[in-house]
Amino acid sequence: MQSIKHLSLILCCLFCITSCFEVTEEVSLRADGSGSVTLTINMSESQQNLKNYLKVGEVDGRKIPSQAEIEAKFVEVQTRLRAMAGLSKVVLKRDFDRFIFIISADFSNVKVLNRAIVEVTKLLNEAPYSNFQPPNFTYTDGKLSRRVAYPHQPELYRQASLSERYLMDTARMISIFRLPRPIKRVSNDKARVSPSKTSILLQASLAELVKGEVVLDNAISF
Amino acid sequence: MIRKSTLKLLTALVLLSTCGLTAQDLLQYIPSEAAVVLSIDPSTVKTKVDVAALKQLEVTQMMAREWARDFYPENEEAFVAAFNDPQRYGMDLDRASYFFYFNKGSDAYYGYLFALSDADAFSKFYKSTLFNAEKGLRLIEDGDVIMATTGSAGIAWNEEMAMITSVQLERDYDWDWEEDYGEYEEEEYIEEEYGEEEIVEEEFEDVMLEEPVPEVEIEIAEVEEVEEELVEETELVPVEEDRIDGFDDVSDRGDSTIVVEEEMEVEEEWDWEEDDYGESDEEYAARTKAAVEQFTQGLFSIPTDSTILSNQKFVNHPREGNDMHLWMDYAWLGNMQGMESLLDPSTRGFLKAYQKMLTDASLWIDLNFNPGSIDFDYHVQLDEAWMRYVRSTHDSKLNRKFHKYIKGENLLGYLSINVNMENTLRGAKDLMLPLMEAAPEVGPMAGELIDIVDIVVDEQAIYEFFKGDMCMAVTGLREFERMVTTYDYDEEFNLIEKEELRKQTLPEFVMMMGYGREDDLKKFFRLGEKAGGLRRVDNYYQVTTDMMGMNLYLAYHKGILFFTNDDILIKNNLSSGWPAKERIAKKHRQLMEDNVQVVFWDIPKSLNSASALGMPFGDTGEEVVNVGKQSLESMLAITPKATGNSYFSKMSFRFANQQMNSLDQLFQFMEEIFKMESQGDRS
Repeated sequence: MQSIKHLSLILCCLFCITSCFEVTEEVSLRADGSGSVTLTINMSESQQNLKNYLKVGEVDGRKIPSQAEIEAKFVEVQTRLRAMAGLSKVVLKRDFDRFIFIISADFSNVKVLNRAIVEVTKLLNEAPYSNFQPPNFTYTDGKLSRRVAYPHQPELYRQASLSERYLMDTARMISIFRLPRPIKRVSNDKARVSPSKTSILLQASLAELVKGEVVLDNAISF
Repeated sequence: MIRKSTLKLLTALVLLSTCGLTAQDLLQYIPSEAAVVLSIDPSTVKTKVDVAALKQLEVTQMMAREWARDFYPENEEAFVAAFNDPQRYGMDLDRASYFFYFNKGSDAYYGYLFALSDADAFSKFYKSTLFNAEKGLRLIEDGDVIMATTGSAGIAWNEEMAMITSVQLERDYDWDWEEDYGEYEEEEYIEEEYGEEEIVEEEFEDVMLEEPVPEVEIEIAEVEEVEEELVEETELVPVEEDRIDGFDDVSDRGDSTIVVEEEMEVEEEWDWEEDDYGESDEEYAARTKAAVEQFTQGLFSIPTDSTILSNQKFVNHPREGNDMHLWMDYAWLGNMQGMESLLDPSTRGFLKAYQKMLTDASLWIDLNFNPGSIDFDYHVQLDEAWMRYVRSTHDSKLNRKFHKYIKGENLLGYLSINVNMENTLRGAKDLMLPLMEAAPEVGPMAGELIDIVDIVVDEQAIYEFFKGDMCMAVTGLREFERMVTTYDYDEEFNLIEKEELRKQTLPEFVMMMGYGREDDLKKFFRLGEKAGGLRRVDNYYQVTTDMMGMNLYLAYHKGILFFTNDDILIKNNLSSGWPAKERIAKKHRQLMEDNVQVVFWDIPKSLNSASALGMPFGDTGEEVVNVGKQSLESMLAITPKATGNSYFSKMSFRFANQQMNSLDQLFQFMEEIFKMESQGDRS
C-alpha cells in the first residue's frame, strides 16, 4: 500500500520487466484527518514481456507466480483491508492485459492507514530485505509527517547487471499528497508544490531510492 | 562463449593424437561391436597449421593446465610437459588415434587408443606420475602388456601402442516391492515406527471413543486501546464502484476466498543408500575392477574376425583424409540400452522393429579445418528401402517466387525446406506398417487400421494442400509502432491517462509456405475471422491477438501463404514482391532451389542487431561481440537432394579471413577472448 511495500514488490519484479514501470501513491487528506489513498502500479510498457513470462512461469530460472496466484494474493489483501476497522471503500482493480493494478481505500485517520500498511506489508512481504520498517504517517492539525525507513544500499546498484541498472534507472516512484489547506513548509527539498499549494509531488527513480540520493521522508506544514 | 570443457576436449583431441602404427594397426584393438568410433588424424591437421605454435598460445597453455589439474592434480607440471612435448615421453602424436564406445545391455565400455614411439619412456612417465601403489593401483604384466586399473578406468600399453579404458556397469538394485509397498502386519508396522512397546489396538480404540474431549481454556488477548481521533461516523454503504474500461473489479466476486497457504513439505532428494542395492559398495567396486581388467586385457587379443575391421558397416564407409572422423552404428541409436523391462509392450515392440529397420544403417561425420571455414559433413547410409523413401521425399521443387518476397540488404538469416509432401506421407505409411505390426495391441490389424484411416482422411487433399516447401527469413530490424498507456500529471498533479504511440525496434521476418487448393485455404481464414483471431483488411488479414508486441499479418497470393510482421510487404508488395535490386542475393536463391534444406546465418549482422536491440552484453561481452563480428562471417548448413545409398548434410562456419586456415583463426579468436577475460579478471 505504501512505498516500502511497493518498493519491495518492484525489486522482486525487476527481473520480469524489460521496460520502465511506475508506482504512484496518492493520499488525499481531509481536515479531520480522514482521507483516501490510491496506489497505482503501472507496468503497461512491459505488458508483452510480462504476458510471456506469466505463460512460461519463470524468468532466468526464477519461478514467478501465475496469474491465478497473483489474483489470489490481491483478493486476500482486499479481504483483509475490508475487514479492518476504519477503512472503507476498499477497491482493487487489476488489468492483466495492460498490467495496471490499482488499490484504493478511504481511511478514518492516519493511524488506520498505518495499521493497513503494516497488515499489507506482512501479507506481501516477499522482499529479500528483512529490515524494512513500515512507513509511519503522523498527523496533527496542520502537519502531516511521513517517515519511510529502509536501508540505503548503493552497493546493490553497483553490483547490479547493466539490465538491472537500466530497470532501476527507469522505474519511477511517485508520491502525491493533497491537503485541505495551502502548504506552508516542506522538509523534503526534492518535492514539488502545485501552484494552488494544496498538492505536493515527490518523484524518484528506484535507483535514486536504492542509492539513498532521494528519500521519501517528508514533513509538510499546512 | 565456448565452454572451457569443450576447449579442453578440442585441444586434447586435435593436439594430442598420436600414432606410431598405421591407422589400420590400431583399429585391430577395437572390437567389432563398437557402436561409435572417433578418429583424429593430426597428419592432415599438421599440413594445414603449425601445431607447435598453437600449443604455445596462452589459451592453449591455460587449457592444458586446467586439463592436467582436473585429471592429474598431483603431477600437473609433468602433464603439461607431456602436452608440450609428447614425443619425449614416448607418445607419438603425429598419427591417428581412436576413441570408441559400445554397450552390452546397460553396461557401457569406452576406450581411447594412441600409438607409442618409445614404450620404455612412456612406462617411466606413467610410473613416475599416475601410478600410485598407495592408492591401490597395481601394475599387471602379462607378456608384453602392462596394465593398471583404478576404479572404473584402466590404462595399458605394449611396445607399440597404449590405451585408456573405462567401464560403467549397471548396479543391481535390491528393490523388494513387497517390502517397500506391501501390506504390513499392523504389529510389524507399529513396532517399526514406535519401537518395541506393544500398543494394543483395543486400548487405542477405547481412547478414541470413550474419553471425552478435554476442555481447552482459550485465553482471550487484551485488545490494545488505541486513542483515536474523533471522526464523524459515516454509514458504510455499498457503493457502485466506478469502472474503468479494461479493469476487472475483484469486488464483484461472490464469496471472496482467502487462500490459505499451507506449508509445503519439501521432498528431499532421494539418497540411494547402500542397502538399496543388491550389492555393497565394495562388491560393486570389485566387480567393476574385474570388468575393467578383463575388458582391457581382452582388447589386446581380439581375434581378427572380431575386430572393427570385420564390421562391414564400418569398413564400407569412407573414412580417410579428414581431420576428425566420427562413425556411428545407426542401429545402436535404436537400441533400448537394456531398458526393455521398463517399457510397455507397445513401445518395446515398436522400438525393436525400428531397430531392425536400421540394421544396415550407419552414420558418419567428417570435420575438417579448411582455409576460411570449419566444415562438418554429415552422412547417413541406409538400406535400399529407406533410401528409396528418402530419395522420393527429395523429389521436390521450391516455389521460385519465394525469393521475390525476401529483402536481401539486411538479411540476418533464413531457413528453407523443400520436400515432396505426397511422397513423404505415402512413404511414411509404408514404413510405419511394420512398426505398427510389431506393437502387440495392433499386430496384424495394422494394415486394416491404416486402410480405415484412409477412408476418413482425404490424403490426396492433404498432398495437394501442403506443397512441402517453406521458407522463413529474418530480414533485418525495423521500428514498429504500438500504442502504450502512459500517465501524466496536470499542474495540480492530477493523473491524466494518455495513449501514446511508441516506436520499438524489433526483428522483421517473413514466413512463406506453398499451398494448393485455395478454396480449402479460404475456409481456414473464414474460420479464423469468425473465431475472432483474424480481422480482414483488404487483401490480407491481421492477427487480432497481441503477440510479441507487434502486429502480425496473414495473407495468401498465387500459391504462397504469408505470415509476417512486415506491414509494408503485406500492404504494398504482395502482388509483385520487392523491387529486383532489393531482393535476396541470387546465390541464396540458388541454394534454396537446389537443396532440400538450407539454413543461413549472417553472424556480424546478427550481432549488430543484438546490440541495436539493446541486449546488455556487459563490458567484456561487448568486446567478445566485437571480436566475433570481425572474425566470423556466417554459418551455412545445406542438405542436398539424396542420390545413391546415402544422403548427407554439410554445415560450414565461415571466417572473415578466407585465406587463413580456420583452426588458426579459431585459436586466435579464443586467444583474444582469453586475453580480454584475463585482463578483466585482473582489473
